[in-house]
Amino acid sequence: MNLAGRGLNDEGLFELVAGLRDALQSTPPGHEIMLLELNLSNTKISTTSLSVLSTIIDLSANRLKDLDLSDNLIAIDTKEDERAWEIFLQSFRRCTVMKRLVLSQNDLSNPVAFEIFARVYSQHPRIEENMLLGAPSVGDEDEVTSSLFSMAKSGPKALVSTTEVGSKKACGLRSIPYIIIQEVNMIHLGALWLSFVLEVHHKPDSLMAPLKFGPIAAIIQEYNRSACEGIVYKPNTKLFANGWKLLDASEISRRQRGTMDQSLHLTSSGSDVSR
Amino acid sequence: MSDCSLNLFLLTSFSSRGDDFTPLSPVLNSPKGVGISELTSLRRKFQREAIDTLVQRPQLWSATLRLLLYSRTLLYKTRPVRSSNGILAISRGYMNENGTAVKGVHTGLQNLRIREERSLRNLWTSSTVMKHPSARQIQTRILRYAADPRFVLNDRQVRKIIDYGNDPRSISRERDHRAKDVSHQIWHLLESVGCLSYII
Repeated sequence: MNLAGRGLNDEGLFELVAGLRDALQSTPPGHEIMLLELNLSNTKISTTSLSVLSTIIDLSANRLKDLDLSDNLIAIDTKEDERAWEIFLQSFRRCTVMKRLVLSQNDLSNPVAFEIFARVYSQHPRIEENMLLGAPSVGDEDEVTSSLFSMAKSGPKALVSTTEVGSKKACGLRSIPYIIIQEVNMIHLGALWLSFVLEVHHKPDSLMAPLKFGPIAAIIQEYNRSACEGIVYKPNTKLFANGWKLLDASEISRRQRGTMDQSLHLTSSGSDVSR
Repeated sequence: MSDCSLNLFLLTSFSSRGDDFTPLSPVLNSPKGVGISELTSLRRKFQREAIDTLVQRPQLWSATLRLLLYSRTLLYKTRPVRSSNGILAISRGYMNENGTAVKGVHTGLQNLRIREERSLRNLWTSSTVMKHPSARQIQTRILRYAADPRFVLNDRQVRKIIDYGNDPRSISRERDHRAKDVSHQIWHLLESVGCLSYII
């Protein structure tokens, strides 16, 4: 569903959500309506809409792949805003196929926005190593990979978690390969909270298979040029040198952790073989 | 409770190490000594700045300080208080002057919808009862509801804060650092109880 650029505003969104909720909840078996992508970019919606939107996100937890809320009026100024922001972020808890969440060009200048983001992130289920693509401990890697490619070919019916292995599914904010927060007026104290998330967020290539050539793949290639992996926070013009240093140090730490994890895998798989 | 009041109470709070801003928890060091250590150092700097400058203190830190204050308050209720002791005097004054801490406990009790408030409050004045595991659980729940109704802290952090607050030895450690500035003391206190950041 692409509503980008329409003057929807909060009232319009409330009506949209009410309609969508009915449609998602009350369709007969075999005629299900699935919300796969929702583009609400530049629709003049504010933070008030976030808690309403969370019901739709939760209802589409196993289907929704892409949510674009960029260039809106989202700002975390009041206690009510904080609550709405937290409810919104929590609504991704059960989401298993999200590939991209875009929050760019909103006002997240209040550090509490990133504090709440870090808290919700910490509360979402951890991703176990065997849930990652390409992990040495994955039981039947070929099967997973082929199911992902078949998903890309055959569309919604084949939609499974990008990181599903057996009955276990990665879910929540931790499982979203691309979280885009460009130009959100982030300041260094917001970057402080983001640095904790950045340090542990898995890289996109371990959370999802490469996309086939197309518009979304082209956008993602553009993100990769920003030298950010997964959590895309460049550019953010309000962030000064020290903030960038902190985020750069987080990226270095993340890479070192990744290298250490790989060495551990190699060591453990080597010892398994020797047994 | 205002952050200012918390600052007043916690002027004396943190552990007794002489080194400045050295974490109690082990810090991963990168092979070349860059990256992670620089990350830790920058984080400390930003955290100090946040304690010094932010009008609206991070929710995690506020909840931690509130919970610690309530835990301390209860500790003083169950032990003899010497008025000559600066820290205890601050705490006593705090309770007597505005009763905020006691009010917080009341809120917790109301949140739990427990009718027998009076008998439950007596738990803290009876050392025999307090030795019972279920009494400690109730105490923890009440303190948590009072200090952290939004559940910003996780279970591990709650336990650590209450244990720290109930440990009389922590007071003697804090006493040595009363001359340091407030942000220094608060930083070390938050670090001591593992609440400078969320456990991600």
